[in-house]
Amino acid sequence: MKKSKLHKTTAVLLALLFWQTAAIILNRSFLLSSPVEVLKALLELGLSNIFWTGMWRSVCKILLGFLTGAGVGIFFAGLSYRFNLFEVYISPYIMVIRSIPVASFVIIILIWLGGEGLSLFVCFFMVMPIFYANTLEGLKSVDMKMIQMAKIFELGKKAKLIYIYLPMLESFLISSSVASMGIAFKSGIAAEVIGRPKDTVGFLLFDAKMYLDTSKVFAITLTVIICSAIFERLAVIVVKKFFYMLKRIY
Amino acid sequence: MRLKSICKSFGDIEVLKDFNLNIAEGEHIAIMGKSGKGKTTVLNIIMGFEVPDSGFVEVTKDISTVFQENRLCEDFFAISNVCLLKKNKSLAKKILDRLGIDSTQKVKTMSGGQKRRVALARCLARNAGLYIFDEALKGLDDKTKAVAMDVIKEYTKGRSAIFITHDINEAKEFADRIVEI
Repeated sequence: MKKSKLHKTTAVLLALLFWQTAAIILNRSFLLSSPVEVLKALLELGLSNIFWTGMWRSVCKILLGFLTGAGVGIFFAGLSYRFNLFEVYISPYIMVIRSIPVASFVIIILIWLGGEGLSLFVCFFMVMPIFYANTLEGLKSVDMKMIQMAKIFELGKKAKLIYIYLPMLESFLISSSVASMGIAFKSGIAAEVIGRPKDTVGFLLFDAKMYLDTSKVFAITLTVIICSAIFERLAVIVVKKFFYMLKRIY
Repeated sequence: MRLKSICKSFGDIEVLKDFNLNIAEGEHIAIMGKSGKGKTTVLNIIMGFEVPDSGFVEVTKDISTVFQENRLCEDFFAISNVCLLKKNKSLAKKILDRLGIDSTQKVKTMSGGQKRRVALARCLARNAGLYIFDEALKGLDDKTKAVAMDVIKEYTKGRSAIFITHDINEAKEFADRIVEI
């Protein structure tokens, strides 16, 4: 095993040991459940249909919010790059969306639309400005000399997109995906806890909190963290694959 | 192509003063001069990237060029850089072969000299009325330079061309006329 890997494993084991020791010393399961109790709760959850239904519904809504947010963010960035006035007119909305706290968003959407699509809309509004800002920055960083090259060689819109703009956006889209996937999961689950739409992870989390079932709270949280990490990695792989294919095809 | 009484300043620095240049159809000229004398400014005016402060410009729209920097799409294959989605793949491949470049190699994995030859191939693969070569053979060894010069002469035969260089031998070999700035 490599030295760095060994250190990482040791660090995780030490953290678990520290956690177990703290739980034993505190001896109050509802305040701090031990790793063993969390593992037990995790196994129980794994056997429950309600948990998997909730997980499926929550993840679907969060991912849909993420994808629409990313799509609209990229589209708006394209418009802002092309039309200066669009950037000027959209900037107040983007600024407001970026500064509103998640809790306020949740309450406003709850009042307007009810609890069903709550996490979807919250994720959308959290993800969209991140993709908007990063994509616009990427487009603005395109080298003027390459634009001149495109002019001389009379590149069409498609060729300009493929050879000049998209390669410039690769790193910006990867960083947007990494930054916003975590935020989408955090805000989506937070929205569900506040709005409590039925058969969702947020609902289960709130339920566990009501009964002071801390080990279940920890177990659900752990599952959300794992889910978020998996989809974050997946998003990066999808973006990288897209650019890899683009460069192979053209 | 005709530039008449061109003046251009950048701030207080006057780069071109009453500059004139005529190129007949099919004529090859070389422009020589020390750095900072305004050679690139002349090219930028011809290509429409700079507007002169005063004077008259009459140029064709069909221009192809080797820029001073390569300006290539580094992540793509050499052939893609030459074709740029246009349907001239066989011509592009032929020119790249002549210049000793593997058309399936990605530009970012190439040496400086190879990249220069890809930029040259991109310029020559375009059917243009005026070719501009801004230090096109920069960074090539003598043997490759000779091959590249032959290819340039072959593909620009009967077309107007401007060749910017610091090398008097290159200028003499390529041009019908040498203009000093």
